[in-house]
Amino acid sequence: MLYKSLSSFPVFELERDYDKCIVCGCCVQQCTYDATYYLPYAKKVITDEHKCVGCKRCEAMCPTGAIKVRAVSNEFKHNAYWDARTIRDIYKQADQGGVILTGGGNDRRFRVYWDHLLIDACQVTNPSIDPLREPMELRTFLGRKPDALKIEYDENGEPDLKTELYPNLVAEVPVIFAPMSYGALNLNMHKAMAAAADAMGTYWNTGEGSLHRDLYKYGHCTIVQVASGRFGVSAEYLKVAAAVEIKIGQGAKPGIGGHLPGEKVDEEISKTRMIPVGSDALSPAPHHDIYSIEDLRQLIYAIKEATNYEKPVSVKIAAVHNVAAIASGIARAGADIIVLDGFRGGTGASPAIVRDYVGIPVEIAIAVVDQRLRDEGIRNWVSIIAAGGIRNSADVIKAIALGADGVYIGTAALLAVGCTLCHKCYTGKCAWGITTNDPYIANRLNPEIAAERLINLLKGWAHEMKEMLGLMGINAIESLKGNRLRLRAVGLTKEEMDILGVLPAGEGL
Amino acid sequence: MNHRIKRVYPIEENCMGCRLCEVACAIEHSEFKDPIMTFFNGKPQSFTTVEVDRNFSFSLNCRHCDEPYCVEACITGAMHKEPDGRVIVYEDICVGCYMCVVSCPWGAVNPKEGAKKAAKCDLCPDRELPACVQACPNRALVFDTTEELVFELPEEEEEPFVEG
Amino acid sequence: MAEYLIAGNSVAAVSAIQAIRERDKEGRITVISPEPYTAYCRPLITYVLAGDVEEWRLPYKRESFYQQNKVEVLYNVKLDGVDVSERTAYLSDGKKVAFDKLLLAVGGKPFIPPIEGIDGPDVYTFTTIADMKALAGRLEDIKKVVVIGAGMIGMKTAEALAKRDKEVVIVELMDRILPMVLDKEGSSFAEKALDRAGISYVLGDSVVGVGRDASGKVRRVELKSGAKIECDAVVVAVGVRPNTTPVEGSGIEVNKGIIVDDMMETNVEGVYAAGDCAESYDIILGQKRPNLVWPIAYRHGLIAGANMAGGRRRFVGGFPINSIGFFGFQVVSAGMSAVGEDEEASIEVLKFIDESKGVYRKVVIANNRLLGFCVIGDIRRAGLYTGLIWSRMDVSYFKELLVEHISLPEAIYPIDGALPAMNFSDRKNIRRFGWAVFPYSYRKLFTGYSARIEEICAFDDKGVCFYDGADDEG
Repeated sequence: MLYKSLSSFPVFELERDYDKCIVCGCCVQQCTYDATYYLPYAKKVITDEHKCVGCKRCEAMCPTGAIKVRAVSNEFKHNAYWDARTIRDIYKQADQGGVILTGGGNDRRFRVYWDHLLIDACQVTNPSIDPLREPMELRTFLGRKPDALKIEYDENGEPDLKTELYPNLVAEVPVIFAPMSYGALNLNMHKAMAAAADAMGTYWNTGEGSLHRDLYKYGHCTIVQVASGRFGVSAEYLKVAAAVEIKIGQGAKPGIGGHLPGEKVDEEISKTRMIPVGSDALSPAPHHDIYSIEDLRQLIYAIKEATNYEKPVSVKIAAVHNVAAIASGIARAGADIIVLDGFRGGTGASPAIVRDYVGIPVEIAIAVVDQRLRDEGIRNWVSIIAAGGIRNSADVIKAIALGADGVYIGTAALLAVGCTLCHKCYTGKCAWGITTNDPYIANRLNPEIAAERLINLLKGWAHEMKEMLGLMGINAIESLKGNRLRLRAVGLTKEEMDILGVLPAGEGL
Repeated sequence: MNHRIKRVYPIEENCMGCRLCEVACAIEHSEFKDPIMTFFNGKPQSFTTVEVDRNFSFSLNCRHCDEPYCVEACITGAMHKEPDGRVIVYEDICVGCYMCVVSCPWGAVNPKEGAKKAAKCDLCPDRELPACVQACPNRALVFDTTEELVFELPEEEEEPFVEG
Repeated sequence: MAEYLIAGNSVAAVSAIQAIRERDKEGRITVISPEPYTAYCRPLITYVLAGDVEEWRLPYKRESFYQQNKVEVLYNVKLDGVDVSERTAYLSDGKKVAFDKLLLAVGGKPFIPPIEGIDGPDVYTFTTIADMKALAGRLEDIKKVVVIGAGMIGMKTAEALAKRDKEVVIVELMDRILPMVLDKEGSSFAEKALDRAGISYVLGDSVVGVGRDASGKVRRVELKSGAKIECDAVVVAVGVRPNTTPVEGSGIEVNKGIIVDDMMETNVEGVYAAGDCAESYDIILGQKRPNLVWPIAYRHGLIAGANMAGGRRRFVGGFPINSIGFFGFQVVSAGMSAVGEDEEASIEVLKFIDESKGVYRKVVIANNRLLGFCVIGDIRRAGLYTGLIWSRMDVSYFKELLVEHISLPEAIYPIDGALPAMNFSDRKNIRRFGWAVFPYSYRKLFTGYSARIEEICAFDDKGVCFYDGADDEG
């Protein structure tokens, strides 16, 4: 406390009810930021609020409910323009002169288009469907679809499909766990996501940190990533997976690379990423072998060649201003799946300024990419996965109605296992054991419990999605794809509605 | 060993050292059964101990041994192996000689706080699940028989002297 | 139907009965009890004398135990001799009993040193209910008592007499209290407790004569130093020796005690010995010797009983374990605990002393193995040391933790305890002695199983653990 900078005003205040505090020491032990400590002479636990990051771990663990973590109210004179965070960021940079790092996703007040879109329902003229009584299909095929089907009938009149189908991923729920690398997350979280994806018949994505040997058994539900750092990419890694993803960009930090500090690279990460222990894992900003759509095509086909054309290849890009044209190029380069990562997407570590002000919302990106591919007549060449800030099952339905095939959930998955969005992922001290590689703190995330929670989340969403499909009178999620007529906008401008391709609320057909 | 007896086993890989098992045990075995009353008015005593060494921990309590050291050492017969496998101490017979304390290699039997008696884990007879197991937020304690729980025992370690 | 004969009726006999009945529900068991009581707890008699414990709490097992196990008990009968070829036991009431299997659990007998005038009234030993009752019956006439010997029995008797408002003087030949347990430094803690309680004691001196008046009543004792202490009674508590009288001349091998193998069998087939009278393997000394303590007697009886009923169980070994408290002083110890620092070069002694709290911890290490310990004051979790002795584990890599940082449960209690430093920054440095400091393989074994430590620790020929030197994964 003593040696703090003059301008470091605490962000959180800890209210401790000493009538209830039994001095069990749980909060002291659980705080990984050293914010809570014990005063032996007073037999009291106190808090250094300058160190508190507001992760609420102590509040969650306190057996008597003696702790409340609250944001400091009214710390600066009220100013609608110079808000507290802006002021604090300036102080911090004036102290340190560096880039302000953060984790998680964009938390700024940008318009949330999901919240301006409303879903249609059937009344009288076409009946809604009760998902509890009638079959309802959430199964989604991800990958290239043929332009046309050639069917021949044999002498008995039995149909026979003559078209050769492209390899597709089959997800029982169109919700896939987003790429979050081993290194950014720990192995326990990877285990949990893999087990949950396996149990739910969907997929999970390794992120750029490769796949730990122990998880090779989950290969059938794993999408592996090939990113600019090429960490841990080997023939076996590609072969064990269900699909391969080339990561070009990330919604939280479009256009910049990644950096896993050397001290986080322990024995296991080193083996998995195939880099020396203790060396920084740097992902370059671009792929140094990709400077054009043609270069991308070479990589896509190199991977297809390596995997014997048996696996779909996906390309993940951040949603940026020119996303429609880029997506068209990717589709023509031979990709089977395009992942659009919006600016709300999370990250383990990113400059705050990049996270907050670069990229475009994924809602817009889905709409424009879907429209562009349709206009060009190549929509069936690729599946679109929307990523970056999918919060609930309604967002999934809206994304699919806007034109996506499926979605990635990253932040939602982390929230399900305990994350409180304190945005301190980059410190490696995550008190919930999610984004830390300290093996002892990582113990806090029991993969078994985490997998159960992820499964519960997906089950809940699946039920809700079925309900929503039913009330729209649709019995298969693929029938909703790109059906923007089932959406109406409220509070959007004419231009926004045009870009999204939705009608204003109140306008019938 | 008797694999059919339910015991509390620590899973070291899941333990995060929060000591809530100790808190829960102290509450369960106090006269108040209330956390705040226990710690401010009672004599809190936990029968399980979270052992910590640098970067790992686990909660160690009574193993309810098949041939308990404490029962052998008890001079009064207060320490007792029940037919259901639990090792419990009859406090009205105990005279507090602490032979059990010194003979328990787990350090699981200790003097009772504020009385000249021995005190140890009784597997919470009033509860379906022992308090420590229920309190563990991370399933680092399991209450089960070893028939279902298989621990990796190095091959050389097969109980060489026990027969029959 | 097998005929089991058990001579003696204390803890070894009880555990033997249990072990026999686990295997043999039919065989006839006869117990010869020299006293007219069911098995009772000998150490408890001082508690009864002091009035802390009612007499009804004395029995260790009650009549129902013998009935349930279908045991015939002959009270007030001693074993006089054994004819191993005829397989017959001679009893003190003149009867002869035939046996198939005999367990000699005849216990120990108090040693009475050859002192002038010691034979006669007003001189008591203190090992049986009869002794206790004799002394208790005379309490009204006694004002001042000299207790010879500052061992377990002597100290507990002195405490009991002091509680009954008698003046007590303790005379000990060695220079310290509890000479088998404490060294000089530890003894100072006990001496402080005695001083507080106002008990006088004479160390490093011995009684050479008991002075009696004309009527034969004890009036004083004379010490070697020439001092004389006025007193009305003398309690002799200089030790207990294995009772080998009944087997003299029977062909059963006797050294200090009755020699047994690791199956608890004597040199005569079918004749077993257990308890204080037996001389069995001591895992600390690595040789056979009598260990006159309760837990070993129990273990002896258990193993002997199992083997008598046709089992094949081995006694891995034992070592003395003691716990005693008097006048607010509490000490627990096991193994070689009284060894001083400079007595032997191969022995290393580690100590932790906190005078203000009255806490004293001492461990004795040789060959990187714990051979004994002694804890005074705060005895919580002291048994962890016993576990170390049983497992014969290499303690060299956490030696420095052994006495200073024993992990204690007080950590969570706000009243007196201090919270351990467990913050993130110093978590990596926390090391306290406890099972957590052991290598992974050990921890798994010990926390995952409920078997005896000494039995799950497999030893090679040299008595070294398989997991010796395994890397500490912590």
